[in-house]
Amino acid sequence: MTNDRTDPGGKLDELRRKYQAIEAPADTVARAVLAAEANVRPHGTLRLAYVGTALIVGVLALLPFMTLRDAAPDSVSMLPSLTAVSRAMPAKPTVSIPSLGSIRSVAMPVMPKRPAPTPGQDTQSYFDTDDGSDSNEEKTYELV
Amino acid sequence: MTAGEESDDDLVRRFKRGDIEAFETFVRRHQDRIFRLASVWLYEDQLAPDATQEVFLRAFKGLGSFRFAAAPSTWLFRTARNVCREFNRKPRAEQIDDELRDNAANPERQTKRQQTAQQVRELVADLPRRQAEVVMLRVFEDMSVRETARAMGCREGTVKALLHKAMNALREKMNPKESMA
Repeated sequence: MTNDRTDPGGKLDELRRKYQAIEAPADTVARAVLAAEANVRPHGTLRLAYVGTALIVGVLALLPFMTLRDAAPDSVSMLPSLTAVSRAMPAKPTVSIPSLGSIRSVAMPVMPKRPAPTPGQDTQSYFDTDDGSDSNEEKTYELV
Repeated sequence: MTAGEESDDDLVRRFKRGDIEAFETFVRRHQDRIFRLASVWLYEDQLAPDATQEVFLRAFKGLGSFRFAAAPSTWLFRTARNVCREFNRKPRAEQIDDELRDNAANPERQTKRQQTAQQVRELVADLPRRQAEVVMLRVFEDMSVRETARAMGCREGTVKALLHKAMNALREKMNPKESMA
């Protein structure tokens, strides 16, 4: 006995020895292990149900892939892969796109500038076209 | 545990890897202590085998995620204390079948064990709960102050103080004349 637990009259020590002689029943280990396995691990039937459920779920999960494979042609492996197709394609388009400035220069004719009418000039004669016709006059065309 | 034996930590590590034999060794090593504690802590000490089984069942479930923050034996003592408290709260009717079965196992040996457990229980019965626990672990289970402190979840100084008070109370109880003088 150490100082912090002085034995009053030796009776405590005697009782301690008797107490420490108490042993657990012989089947304690077996009981503990059996109880543990029974509680933690599933029983045979239950285990079978787990396996069955897992198999069904697995087959259901694979079903879409299996259907696609059946529907695909036998020569599916002969098709070129996407990588091969992309490699066969040129990296840049060969047709050069014209610039906006060049399009404008080709498509839009430049109108010749006319000098502004001088003060006192007859505006009617100013707006008359070069061919002598009045620009405000409605033109008629004959069908040939 | 002797020098050649595997430590509790090693056993638990093996068990965590799925070795059931390691668990059996662990149970065999601690079963007597847990059983004795249950015999005293339970109001109905006939339930000690069931309480012991329940403690190791929880060990089987819990040691798989054990992180070694404390010693496995400390964890086991705390579990035993919790299980015994739960058993003490159980309604009496649920315990009758277990009691009948255990009484039939080995009547003579069981009677002797019950007498000793009863003596210890009577000795610590008047003590406050914490003092009784200290006496059980430090005196009767012969655990060190450090182990007792960890099992009870308190400081070593607290253990010493509780034990000092408990021993004074026990001295008065066992030798009333001497303490009066």
